[in-house]
Amino acid sequence: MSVTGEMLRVLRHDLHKIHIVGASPHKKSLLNETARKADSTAAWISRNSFKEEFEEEIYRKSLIFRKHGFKKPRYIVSQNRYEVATLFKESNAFKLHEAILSSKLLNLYCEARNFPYTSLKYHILLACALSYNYINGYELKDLYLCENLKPKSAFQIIYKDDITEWTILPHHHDNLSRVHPKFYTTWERRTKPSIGGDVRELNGFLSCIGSWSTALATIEDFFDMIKMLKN
Amino acid sequence: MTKIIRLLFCFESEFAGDSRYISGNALRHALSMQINTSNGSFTTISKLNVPTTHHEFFLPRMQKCFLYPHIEFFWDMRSRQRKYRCFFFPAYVTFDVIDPPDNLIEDIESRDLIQLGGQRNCGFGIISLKCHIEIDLDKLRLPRDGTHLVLLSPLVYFPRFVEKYNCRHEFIQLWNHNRLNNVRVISEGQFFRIKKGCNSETIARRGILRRSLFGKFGFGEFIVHNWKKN
Repeated sequence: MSVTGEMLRVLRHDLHKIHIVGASPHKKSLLNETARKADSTAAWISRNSFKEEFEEEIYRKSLIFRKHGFKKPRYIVSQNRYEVATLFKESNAFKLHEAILSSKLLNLYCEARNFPYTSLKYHILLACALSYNYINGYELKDLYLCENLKPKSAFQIIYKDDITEWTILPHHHDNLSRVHPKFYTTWERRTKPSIGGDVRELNGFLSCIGSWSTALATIEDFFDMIKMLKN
Repeated sequence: MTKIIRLLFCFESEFAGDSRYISGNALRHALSMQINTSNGSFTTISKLNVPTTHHEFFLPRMQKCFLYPHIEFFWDMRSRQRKYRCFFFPAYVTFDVIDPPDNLIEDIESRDLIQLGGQRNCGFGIISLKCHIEIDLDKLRLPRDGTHLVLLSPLVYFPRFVEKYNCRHEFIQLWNHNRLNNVRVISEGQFFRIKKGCNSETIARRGILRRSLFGKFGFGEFIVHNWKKN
């Protein structure tokens, strides 16, 4: 199977988590050993903090919008189930990756139900970036978090907003920091200021969050909150 | 003998401020005492044990205690804008005081109100002393084979015993002598390789005692690690 075909499989591998009709079960969703390894690594670096009891709900809890929450996430999730299903019908891997990257809806789902703060959107993007790098012969220890550097492939992008683009790339002299299993280690060891700049609150949160997908979802939530304030 | 007193304070109200740590300078101002104190680390440990090794000494500092944020929006009358404020409900905070004055504990216990952090006029940041321990630095087993150090608090200047390379700086506001100073520091969390031939035990001791500029305010604390073992 081509790399693009394999990436398409990785991007669609967690459809069973959002209860899409006809989604293949987890065991059958990834057949390639490298892709499975990338998926398990992505899950491992995300499921390392904020463990809670198994919950029935499939939507994500937010560290930022804790008390007020998203406005009725259950309602939004059930209302937009068709939209999510349509999003994953895209057969072009690049377009699907772009759609996931910009999707606000997919960030409402959690990746694991006993880790409700994890985000399915960022888990998929992490699995995709790791899988692409593994296919190209790199291991986790060879990978670096980079900011605003042009990646070799769009599949290496894990976070994008108006001004910042984070990618996971093999060694680059202008990298931010090495990819560590705990997000806070990567964040604290960065060699230059990054997202948030001088925003003390965001910097404080990210310095203590171990889970990668939770941290990325928290960044998105934080900037959503700032936008909400301005509007 | 170098005596260190580790203080464990219990929070009795909300806290507003930096969720990474409380500066040592905040404790100095809260107590109105010119003590040599470390930055305060948030922790969930409710009982202090006397450490026997260098690693055990820094255990409360190494533990990442995430403070769940509570964010509320309000209308700022001055700037006529909607703003947000963020506060937390931490459980405990620890400070290490080097060579404390004799009456430090009695002085702290006799006080009715000690407050740290922001929004103190709203009743935030009230703490009370839960327990304390005395640590004899001379009895602590220090690492002999350290290869690099990790900063646990900001540092103003590069020490001579580490190799210089790219690192991240930030500005920290330090209130001193009735003036607000902006200090450019090397941010905490970063690691540096120790130069070959340096005595690891001396460096580890220096990290505990914070022998650097503004060490009395909590700057310059670091832990020594062995790269190959960790």
